[in-house]
This record gives sequence, structure tokens and C-alpha cells, in this order.
Amino acid sequence: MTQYIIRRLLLIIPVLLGVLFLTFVLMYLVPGDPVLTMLGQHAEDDIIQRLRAELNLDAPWYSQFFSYLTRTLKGDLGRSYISRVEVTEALKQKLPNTFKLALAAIIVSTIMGIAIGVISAVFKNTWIDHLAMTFALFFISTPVFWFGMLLIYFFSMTLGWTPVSGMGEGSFNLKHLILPAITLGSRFAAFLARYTRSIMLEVISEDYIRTARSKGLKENVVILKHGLRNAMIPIVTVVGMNFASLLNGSVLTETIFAWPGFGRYLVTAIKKRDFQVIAGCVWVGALIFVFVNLIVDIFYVMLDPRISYD
Amino acid sequence: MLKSLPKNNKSLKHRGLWYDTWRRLKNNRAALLGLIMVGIFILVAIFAPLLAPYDPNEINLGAILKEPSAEYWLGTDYYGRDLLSRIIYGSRISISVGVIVQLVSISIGTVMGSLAGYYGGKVDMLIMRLVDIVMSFPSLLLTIAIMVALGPGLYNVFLALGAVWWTRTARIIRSEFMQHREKEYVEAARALGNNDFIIMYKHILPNCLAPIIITFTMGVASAIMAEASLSFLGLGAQEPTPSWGSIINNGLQYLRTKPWYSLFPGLAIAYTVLAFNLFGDGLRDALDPKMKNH
Repeated sequence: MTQYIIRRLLLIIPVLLGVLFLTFVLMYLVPGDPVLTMLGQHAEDDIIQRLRAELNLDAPWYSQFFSYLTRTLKGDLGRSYISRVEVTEALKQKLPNTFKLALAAIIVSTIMGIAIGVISAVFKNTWIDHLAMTFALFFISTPVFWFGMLLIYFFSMTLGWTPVSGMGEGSFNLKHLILPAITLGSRFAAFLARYTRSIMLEVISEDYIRTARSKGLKENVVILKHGLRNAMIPIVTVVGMNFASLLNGSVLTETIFAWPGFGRYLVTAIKKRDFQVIAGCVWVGALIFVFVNLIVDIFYVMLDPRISYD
Repeated sequence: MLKSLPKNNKSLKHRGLWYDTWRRLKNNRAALLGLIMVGIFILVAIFAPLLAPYDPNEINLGAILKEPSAEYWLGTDYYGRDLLSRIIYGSRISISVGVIVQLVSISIGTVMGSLAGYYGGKVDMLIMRLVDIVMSFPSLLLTIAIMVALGPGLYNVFLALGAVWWTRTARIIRSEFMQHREKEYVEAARALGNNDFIIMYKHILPNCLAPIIITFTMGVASAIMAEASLSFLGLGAQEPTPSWGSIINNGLQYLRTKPWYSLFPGLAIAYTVLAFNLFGDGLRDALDPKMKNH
């Protein structure tokens, strides 16, 4: 087991170097001069030259990459071209907000997804199943940002139950959190409902379920205690793997709800063409994605002894 | 013995992959509904000039932000352009994004996957590490980074999404090629003196058509959704191109007073993505019953 973890960690090193190189290449290709973005079009020549030298922009690309690599590995993601705030510091403030939103989204979607999936499997091929799966497919097909707008219109603007945007005061404000969490989790809940249904259908057809039924156990005990418990390993894995993917959805959800997190920080940087921030966000996003998926993989191996470490 | 067989025995008739696929597909009501919905969407895109009541880019300052009415069925935008016409023409953008992005990503993925799967060894190792690197990014984040580097615009959306999504096809094609490269028909082709290119693309590739078609159909829906997201963020199609995502983005600022502005383009996206998902699900089950529930 320890060997497996060490090998997985070692394999990550070349991948992360590749990720860093790709991020560098993309930002290197960006048209326009970052110095002019920082100083404006009418800056004096000697100031421009001094800043170019300071930022190492006159050096050849490999030298620029090497200094980018060493800086990034030390945790220094540079400063925003516009606000001059350090990207690492800004991300330290923004990421906990995104994490809070993602956690709420995963809780909402897991509860809803598993409940709907189990009900669908139990009532297989009845109108309840068809209705649930039609809704699930509809939510999978619905753009996250559009669904968020509908929620804001009905619950915030028309009914006035929730605030339109922002995170509110304090560290936990349910009224502010609920709509963004539902928006971010909606597609995943739908996907999870479909997945849980298919896993549950497989489990329900197993011999031990027939045995449990023939022992005279109540149907809900059979389904929840014998069925769902055995379906949980693949379901938990899918939940874990999708936690990292919520970073994609957070970009759109945070834009709609003006949620002060990672996604909104990135979108604001795109609008201002603040490449240092964009590069920092993309790198940190990939880093989170890789490590969360690694942790999920390790947990999966620990949870299910049938999986070999090779 | 042969004489005892009835003439024109239907059970002996040759049944190809497509015959079986169609037989399974036509028994799947959801997939048929998806097929009809896809058909309607394609017809709307083709006949957009006949169906649209107005020119989608015609600015009418006398009819700014009009509510839905007999004159403007779905209302007008902040330039007085007819929203119904823009949504109808938007279907052309969506279908071109769906198809071209899939063509780009499947072409790259097929070449990379076939090289990795056929040759194995160092070629495989190199290509698969590249796949690992691309897949280490959350897909939207990498697409955004590429769009920032290339600049906004519809053609760059094709390139950016193609450059991010080829990895999925590459993995599927690689595993198919790995299975096929040891088979007898490949050995026979090699023994006949065919070169690797002929073996890969004339002999093995036709046997991988089912997963390619499934990936293509399912991918169209994802590409339409991704383009809408990029346009919503201002990185996709630029004004005056009537992209559904950018119409929703424009409508966001009028959400309180003119909720219909963003409602209809969103419904158009949901309809189209739903159509391709329904059809794609059914096609997957029909083409490759082993993949059902995966």
C-alpha cells in the first residue's frame, strides 16, 4: 500500500512539470505586451525597459521558463498586473470560499442524487422511475449558468426568499449559500441519480439480496442496509472524483452569484486581461485537480480490498 | 442437406452492424425521440433564412427590449434585434461548433490513440504522458487558458475545445488498437506485406468505428454546452454573431425586468443538448450493448 502511494506520488512529478510547462507556453503565446498592460500605452520608454528587465521578459524563453518554474515551485505566483496584489495571497483568500461552496454543492447533490437514484431503481420501469430519469437527463442538459439565473429570478427577485448575490456576513450564511450550492450541484446530482440507479439495479439482482428477502427482512432494510451499503463504494468514488471537477462549474456559478471565490477571481482577470492572475489560477486549479483525484484514488484502494495495488 | 433449406430463408440473410444497430435503436423510444429532436434542430439550422422572421443582425433602435408580442414572438434585444431570429440563426453556430469541435478532437485523438496503441513502447509512453498532462487540468480552465492565448472568437473555440478533448478519443482508440493489433487478421495483413499505415487505417480503424461514432454523438452535446459557457464568459463567438451563450450573457443585466431575454436561448441550449444526449445514449446502447450503464 505504502509502495503504491509512493509510486503514485512519484508519477505526479513529471505530469506536474508538464502542466507547468503548458501553462507557461500558453501565457508566453498571449498576444500583446504585459508591461504595456501594467503601465498603460503612454508609459515612458525607460520605465518600460526597466520593468521588462525586472520581470525577466527580455531573456530567452527557456530562461524565462526556468525562473517561472523556480518561482512557482516556491509558491510565488507573481503579482496581478492590474491591482499589484500577490496572486498567492489573493488565492489564499478566495479558495476557502470556493471550497465552502463546492462542499455545500457536493452535500446537496449527493443527498439528492443518491435518494433519487435509489427510488428510481426500486421503482424500476414505473412512472416514478421514468419521471425521475427524465428530470435527471433534463438537468444534465441544462447550462449551469442559465439554471442559476432562473433560480435567482424566482427565489431572489420574485419571491424575495434569498439574496441575489454575494456571500453575506459571517463565515456561514445559509441564505446566501443555498442557491449557488444548488446551481453548482444540479448537474452532478442528476448524473449521480443516473449512476446510483444503474449501480443499485446491479446490486439488487445479486444473490445476497435474494437471500435477505427470503429471510423475511423488510423491503426497506433490504434496500438500504444490504443494497445501498454495497453500492456505496463506487458511488463514493464518483462523488470524490467529481469534487475536483466542481472547479469547472465554480467558474460559471460564482460569476452568476458574484461569489467571491476562485472562479470569479479568474473571470475578472480574463475581462481585465490580467495574465499573471490567469496563469496562477490555471496552475492552482490543475494542482487541486491532480491532488484531489490522487487522494480519491488512494481512498478507493483502501476502501475496497479487492482492488490490487499494481 | 443443402436442398432441405427453404429458399429465401430470411434467418440466413446477412445482418451487418448497421442493421442490428437500427433494429435496437428503433425499439428504444427515448432514442427515437432524441433522433427526431436532432432532426428538427438540423432542419432549423439549414432553413434558418426561411424560418427567421427578421435579419438576426438588423438593428432597430425603435424596438429596443420589446416584450414578446405578435410582432416579435420572443421579444427583442438591446439593439432592437429580433430574439427569435437570433436564436434560429444561433442553431447554425451550435451545430457548427458541435460538429467541427468533434471532427478536430476525434481526428487528433484517433491519430494519437492509434499510434500509441499500435506501436506501444516509447511512443505509447510519450503520448500517454501528454494525455495525462492535458487531463490534469479541469477542462474548462484549460480551454479558458487556450482561449486567452489565442484570443476570443468562434474559430479559436474550435481549436481550443479540440485541443482539450482529443484525449478522451485517444484513450478509447488506444485501447481498441491494443486489442486489435494481436488479432489474426492484422497478422495476415502484415504477412501480405502491407505497411503499418495501411494496417492501421485500412484494416484496424474500420473495426473501431462503433466507439468513434458514440464519442462523436455524445461529444456534440458537450461541445455545444462548452461553447455556450465560453460565449457566456465573453470568450466565445463575438458580436454580432448570434451565439446562444452570449445572448444569455447579454440578458443577465436585464434579468429583473426582462426575464424572457435569457429564458429562450437557455431553453434552446437545453433542448439541443437533451436531443443529442437522448440520441447518443440510445446509439451507445444500440451500437455496443456491452457499454450499457457505463
